[in-house]
Amino acid sequence: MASKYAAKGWVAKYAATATPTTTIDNLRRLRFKQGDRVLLDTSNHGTSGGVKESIIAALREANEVVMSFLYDPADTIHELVRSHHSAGTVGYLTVVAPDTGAAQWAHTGHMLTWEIADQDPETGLLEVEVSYKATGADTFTA
Amino acid sequence: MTLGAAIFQKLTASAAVKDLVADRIFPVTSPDRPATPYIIFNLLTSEPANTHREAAELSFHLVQFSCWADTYEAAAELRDILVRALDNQTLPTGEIATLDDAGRDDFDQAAQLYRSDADFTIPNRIAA
Repeated sequence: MASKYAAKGWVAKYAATATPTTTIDNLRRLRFKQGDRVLLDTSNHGTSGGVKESIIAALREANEVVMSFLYDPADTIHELVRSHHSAGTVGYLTVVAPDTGAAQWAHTGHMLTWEIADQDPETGLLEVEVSYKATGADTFTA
Repeated sequence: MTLGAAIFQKLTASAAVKDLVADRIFPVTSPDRPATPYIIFNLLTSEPANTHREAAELSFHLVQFSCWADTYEAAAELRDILVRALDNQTLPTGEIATLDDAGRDDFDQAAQLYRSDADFTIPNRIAA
């Protein structure tokens, strides 16, 4: 029977070189998507049964990671993320799941968006949301 | 420094507050029949800034301040002075208090005192 895990404990590591070891501190929300794959419509005049025919596309989208963290401009990795987005520099992101085996996905890609969240003066946190898109296949380790 | 201590220090540093209540600023409850007017403050709720890997270092507290006096006017006046002493002001902890609500009045039949409330959201650093 499959085990169940709480969501708390995700780790995101980021660096300018492959195999990052430094974590992004104060990670709040994380949304991670393995790239979508589409079906190619192969319906033809001989298609029967009233249902379209299709084959799976050979290529899928690259992975995408959306994260938010409590932003500290003085934090070295926070600044690396910001500067990479600003300059379009390639960065290396590894996300590690909170399961007992610490499953992880390693990527090469770019920070596509960098946005300070709504700054509510009463209960707001200095928080930034970034999105990262891989430029190729990820490396998954269970 | 605890949040309660910071609140007490901030309010007693206000000449306008101190002129009315001296040091009659009590956490949670007052001693039996104190001189009026006086202030009681309560921490109602808190929302910690949780992250995936770290213990929460910051928490947002909703703090209720109740201003007690013999007359409605005196209670309302004390509340207004308290609001001016605290709203958007920096506490000794370094955090800024933000007014959340200042429109709640009541009368306590048992104590025969008027009450005017003001609620503040106050961030507070959680000690490691």
